[in-house]
Amino acid sequence: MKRNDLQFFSRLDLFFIVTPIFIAFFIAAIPQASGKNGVVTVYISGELVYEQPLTRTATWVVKSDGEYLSTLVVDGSKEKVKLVDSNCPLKICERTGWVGIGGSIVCVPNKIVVKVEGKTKASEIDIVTW
Amino acid sequence: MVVVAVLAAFGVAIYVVERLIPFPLPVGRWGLSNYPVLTIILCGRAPDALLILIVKSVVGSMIIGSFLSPQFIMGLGGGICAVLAMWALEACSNKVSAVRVSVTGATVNNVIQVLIASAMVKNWAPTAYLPVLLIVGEISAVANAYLAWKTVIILKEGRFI
Amino acid sequence: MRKADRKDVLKKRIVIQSIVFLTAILIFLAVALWMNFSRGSTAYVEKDEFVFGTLVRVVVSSEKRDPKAIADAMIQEMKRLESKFHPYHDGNSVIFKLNHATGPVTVDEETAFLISKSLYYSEITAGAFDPALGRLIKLWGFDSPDTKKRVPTSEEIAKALESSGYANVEIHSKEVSLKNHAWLDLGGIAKGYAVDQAVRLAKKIDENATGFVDAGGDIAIIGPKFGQFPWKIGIRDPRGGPQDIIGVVYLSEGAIATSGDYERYFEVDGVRYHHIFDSKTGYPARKSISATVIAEKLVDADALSTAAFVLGWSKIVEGFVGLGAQAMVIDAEGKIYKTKGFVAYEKE
Repeated sequence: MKRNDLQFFSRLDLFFIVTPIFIAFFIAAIPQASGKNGVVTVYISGELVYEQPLTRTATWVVKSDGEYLSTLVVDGSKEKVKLVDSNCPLKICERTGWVGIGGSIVCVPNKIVVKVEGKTKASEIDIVTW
Repeated sequence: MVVVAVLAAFGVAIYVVERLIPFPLPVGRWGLSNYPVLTIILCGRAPDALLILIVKSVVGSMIIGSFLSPQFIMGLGGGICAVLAMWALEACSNKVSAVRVSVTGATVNNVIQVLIASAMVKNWAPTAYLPVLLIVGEISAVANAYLAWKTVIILKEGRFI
Repeated sequence: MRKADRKDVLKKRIVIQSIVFLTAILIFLAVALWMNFSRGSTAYVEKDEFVFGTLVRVVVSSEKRDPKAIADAMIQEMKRLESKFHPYHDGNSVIFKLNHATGPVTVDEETAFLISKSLYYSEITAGAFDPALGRLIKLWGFDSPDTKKRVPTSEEIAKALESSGYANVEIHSKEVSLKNHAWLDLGGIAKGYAVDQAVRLAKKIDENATGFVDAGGDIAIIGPKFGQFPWKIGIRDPRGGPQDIIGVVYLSEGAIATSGDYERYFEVDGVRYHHIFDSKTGYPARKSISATVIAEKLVDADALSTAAFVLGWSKIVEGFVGLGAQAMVIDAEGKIYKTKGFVAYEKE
């Protein structure tokens, strides 16, 4: 008798379908809410020398022991950074161009590393081969 | 008993073949092998559902060589919790719909699997997969529900069960 | 039973069902939060260091030992090998001594192994990989990031080529001699070897350690992500920005290396002169713009990616499969070629 009641779908099911979607979006939103939305850090020879939010447009002169090395440009609206006017010979750091969250710019001769730190999603790339 | 055996065999077959279907994430599977489990639950025979689940997981993973691997433990753990949840839902009412049971099972299955994964790697990273897993789970859950619903009707009409 | 009663009962059941469903979800979330706060996580320690003229990034995790100590030990090992194999500047370097010796030199086992390995790869790649191009590299100014780069005259190149090429290297067990004043530059292979040794060291400290070493885009895997997931590795688009990806591979073990014309180069009159030379012409190789090789060890991936870059897509590169390596080559027109096995790494 009991099993004749079996339906494929009833209106209440919408609630059951929507709830997991809601949870899905809730969880997907957590990393952005709790993590920093992007911090630009500059290291010279492994030492942190500068830090600022990615969303603030600014330029900063990279110096070591008073010697000019390079200039950091942060575009807050594009949320990207680049190095310009470097004094190194090959200018690989300048050619790197604009980088966003998860990216980095390396100047080998001056031992400068610029990193754009921020939470990236698990589905994204871990490492890049180049 | 014959029906249970046939469904279990079905489960094993789907479990093995399902791996070949492309999946949007590097880990995980669609969950279509849960169709036999769902069918037997909708017939009101939850204990048999546990049996089918264990048979399809153990035999299926032995065939593809993932027996006792992390994926196997995640799948079995999630599956058992899903069966228990669907059973509870069934027991609460004699008027449930196939979609409701199926979606509940899929959701519980995915959440538990990710929690087991998180516990195994002692890191919170696997939860990042959960949103996609939940959405994908819903799609296959509705597909499973439709198949299971049709199957139950056929089984009933033929008085197989 | 009256109709109204039945409806009430039905409503009640729906309410109960909903409550059970919600409670279940809440319990899962509570368990989740509790687990999050009650246990520490397998954190990955990341350490950056300038070695081998590039930024080397060590990312390692260990449950048994302090991952920081492992990372430090790995970097120490790589630095040791860097100063040992630096061909041009370090007076303590074995290679430097070899390049400036007048007769045969007896070297240690490690150096002999690396030189033999280099010569092996030179032979099977018909000289596309060549460890004896030191004179040529120095002439173009690619011996150090600080050297001024310039395009030499064809006479200069012809002269440098006379003192270049792997045929000038002779090794009998541990006795190495260089003919025609040739200079060894193991740059194409020493970095890979050093990273492999660092990975081996990490495994020796904790065999279950996981993580990877990224030596300027040449990557060796220590172990899968969190012990069970493959690392998702993007292959850089040779004509895109630093974060533009042309393909993705998944590696739980092994190594991957890419050689490209966009890594180190200078431009004169709009022509790009990069750092990977064709030993036949003495000029930068032009057949491809990027070559990626997956192999078990980075030393192999490193040498073979250089060779594949110089050769372009060819029978020899297709033959890498026989050595247990897979390759992807992008030619000068941007067309992508892959060995069959390479495709297998693009899934899961």
